[in-house]
Amino acid sequence: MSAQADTAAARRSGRRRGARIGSGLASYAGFVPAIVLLGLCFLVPLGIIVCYSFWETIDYEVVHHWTFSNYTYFFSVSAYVSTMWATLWVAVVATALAIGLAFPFAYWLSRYVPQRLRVPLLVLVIVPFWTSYLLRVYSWLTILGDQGVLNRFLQWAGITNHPLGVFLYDRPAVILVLVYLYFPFGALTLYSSIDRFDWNQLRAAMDLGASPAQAIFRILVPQIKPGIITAIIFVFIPILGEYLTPQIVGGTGGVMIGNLIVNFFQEAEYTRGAAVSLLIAGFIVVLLLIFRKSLSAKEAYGA
Amino acid sequence: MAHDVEVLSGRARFVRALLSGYAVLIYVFLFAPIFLLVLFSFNANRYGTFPITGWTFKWYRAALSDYQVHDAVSTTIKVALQVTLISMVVGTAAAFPLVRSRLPGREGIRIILILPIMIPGLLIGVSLLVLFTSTFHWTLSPETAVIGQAVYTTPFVILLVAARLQGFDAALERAAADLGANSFQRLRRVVLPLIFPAILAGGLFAFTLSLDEFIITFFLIGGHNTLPIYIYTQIKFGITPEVNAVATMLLAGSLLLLALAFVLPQLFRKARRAGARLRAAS
Amino acid sequence: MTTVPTLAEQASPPTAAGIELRSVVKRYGTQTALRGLDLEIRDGEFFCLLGPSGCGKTTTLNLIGGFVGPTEGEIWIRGRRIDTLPPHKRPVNTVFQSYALFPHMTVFENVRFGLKMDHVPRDESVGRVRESLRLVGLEEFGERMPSQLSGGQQQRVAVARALVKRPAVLLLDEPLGALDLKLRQRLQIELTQIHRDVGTTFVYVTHDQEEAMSMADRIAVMNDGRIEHLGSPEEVYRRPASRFVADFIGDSNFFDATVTGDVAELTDGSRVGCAGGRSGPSTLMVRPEAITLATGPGSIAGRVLQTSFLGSYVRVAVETPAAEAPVVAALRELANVPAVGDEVSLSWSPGDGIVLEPPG
Repeated sequence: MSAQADTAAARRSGRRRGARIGSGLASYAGFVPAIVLLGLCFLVPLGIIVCYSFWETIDYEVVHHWTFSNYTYFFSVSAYVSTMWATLWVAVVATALAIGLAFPFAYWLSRYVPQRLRVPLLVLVIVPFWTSYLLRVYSWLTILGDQGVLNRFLQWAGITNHPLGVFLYDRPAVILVLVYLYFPFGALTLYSSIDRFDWNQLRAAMDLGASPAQAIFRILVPQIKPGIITAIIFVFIPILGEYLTPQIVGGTGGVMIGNLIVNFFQEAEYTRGAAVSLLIAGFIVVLLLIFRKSLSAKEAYGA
Repeated sequence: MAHDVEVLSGRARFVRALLSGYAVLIYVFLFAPIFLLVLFSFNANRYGTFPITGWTFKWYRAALSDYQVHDAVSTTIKVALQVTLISMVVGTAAAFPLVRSRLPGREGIRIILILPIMIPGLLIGVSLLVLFTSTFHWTLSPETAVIGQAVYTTPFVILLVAARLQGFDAALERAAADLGANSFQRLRRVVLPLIFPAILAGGLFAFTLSLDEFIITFFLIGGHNTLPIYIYTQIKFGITPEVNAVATMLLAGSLLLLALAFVLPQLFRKARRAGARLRAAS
Repeated sequence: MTTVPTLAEQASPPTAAGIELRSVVKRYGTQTALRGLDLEIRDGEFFCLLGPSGCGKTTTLNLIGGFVGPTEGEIWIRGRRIDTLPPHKRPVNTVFQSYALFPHMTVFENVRFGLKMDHVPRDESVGRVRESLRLVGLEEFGERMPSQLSGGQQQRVAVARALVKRPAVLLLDEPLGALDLKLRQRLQIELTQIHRDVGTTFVYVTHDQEEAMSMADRIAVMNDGRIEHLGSPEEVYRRPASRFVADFIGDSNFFDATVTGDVAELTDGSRVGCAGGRSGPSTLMVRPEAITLATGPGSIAGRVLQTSFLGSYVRVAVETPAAEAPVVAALRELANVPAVGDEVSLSWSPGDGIVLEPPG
């Protein structure tokens, strides 16, 4: 039967091939501009960064001399290493919070909101995601800053008579803003997986003796796992390379790897900066490897 | 189906009420910062914060008469227009073979094409900085920023146009071929008109993304300023109502473009239908 | 699950009924889905809720299953009041129309799910799952994923999954609705066998009268939130309680009539025998197979409009001034079939003329 299906599919695709615009090599011509742009201005520079990370900077000149010294230097400075761990920690916490907060929201949206209101309410969540990233970070200054709403409120309420610096310039502020930045993405991804879920399964689980919480965690959550993992990947990766948020609200206490990279490049320490950049790329690759298996589990259900 | 599962027990009703309250808090969380930003741009108080001492447009007047803002606005728009043009052309061209050719390893190419969306912009910025300054020995300028932004925005256009092409009925093209159209005519008369809304939406998205882009531009623009870069240099000195006013204008600009990206393709389709009706009537 | 009687139970002594609904009303906003339903389902019987869509049959099932709560009234199972319990605390299990199998679990895990929820020890649960899969003839399929099964097999997994918990009542919500006719007929036989094997009370919702007739011990025909008739398939067919029931189950002919005792006067003035039961303006219902046709004039005169050969019988449509619509007769004897245009007379034995309330 599958052999039959195969030949049928082959025949169909053969027919389609006949009707396609152009043929042979000409049909690939469309890739040329993209190859020039993304190849020359994306892949090649990434390759150069890889090389740079194994070269040396001597007297502000890059010397093509292969060495691990950029990496050994990075790991020899304890402040850098602790910044690296702090970055991973912040990324894990902020990702967990963004997705953890998005799950009940997405659940509410697809379970309790009438059909015709769902899309408008979802768009409302995504709109901030499409506005300026810089402004979304900056807007928190008006709340957390010395002159910000929180301090004003505390002074007005008589709880304090001078601005408290505690809200800004530390890791909690960075995490708060990161959660704010990436919540919409988590909500969107989780909603689109939950929306495909057949709620009768939840009824079936309760009918078979599962409590509502058991039904959600044993039936709903395993089935939206691919969505959860997509959300994790797309939230975790950009946070690893975050520069602006720690720069604006993080102060000295909230420094992340991204700030180190920018500092290195601004001081023309290109090779050291390249090594740290590659470190981030390495974390991304590890993350994708960890989740590769879970991502392909999508096919296991035969859905 | 969800709604024949009725909320039965008091506890379940409580959970629903709780979740609805939670959702309200989420919306407050998402919009309060932006709302306050806009609010303070109209506040007469010159600290850009509470208390509200009066309503005024003076920060907008101040911002609009500031030559630095003028400069930034014109650079931003120039950059965004170039980025939009590049990503529309490159993205549309790439979407065709991506959807239609049976290239071996097409999945790999798809991943490479969308990789610039996935990896942090910081990496795109620094790697291009190295390429332009160390390898090519170019001077940084708005044009180098255009290239950097286009790397980031083109994949969005590719995705949008590819999605539209995927849903494109191959029979239409076969019919056109059957009626004697050659491949250029088929592209010009059948395919492009039908996927144009997606290209337009892609272009508007690219424009919005370029308008708001910070990190890549930050590395590649050299001595010039786009609006986000200008705002960034200003907020180093703290919140001011002028910056709030500039920020509000930028916000309004992106929201307007975003709305256009959703509405224009539909209007376009409607207009074409109306035009067809007119032509049919005359 | 606690079995300690509550105050309410002590106040109202347990009845022998498997399931009891006491004046249950269900309203959705301004719409009333059930208008005061009283229903007793015996322990161990195969009970069908039959009716058109929107009649309240699925609402009734959901009330027993616990997916909706009654606006008024009480529901009891084996002497225990359950209408205030959530679904997972009720001694009932459901076979859903869409089966609602869990796609991320194997067949075995699906069936075992309910036992896990009850913390049944592993050894016991494995045995019970096997037994349950054997009951539905799928013992070889435990390691498959639901997506690898045919529709009929998925349906049987859903039955096994519900039965493995040994519920007091098994609820089936149009479980064969998604299957084609041949498979449906085979599974109807299988389901009645399973019912006989396990002896559990089955409550079966369907809109298919043939399905209900062929499987059920008793049928409740529902319409507009009420039970119109409750009885064995034969009673419901032979002595329908209302015009709706007669119309919904099987084919029927209706005559406007004025009844006195066991004589009915039709609109054309002819007088025929009937089963009686009420007097005055009524509707007289006669099943097609109860009608005999004779050539030549008689008490009810008519003219043949159409004859159709349908295998085991011939259907004859007769135009008559006694009825608004053509009267349909089903003739088993293929020898004496009149031709189109023949003048015929219709008759039936008085017991087959069922007197019903007139419409409106």
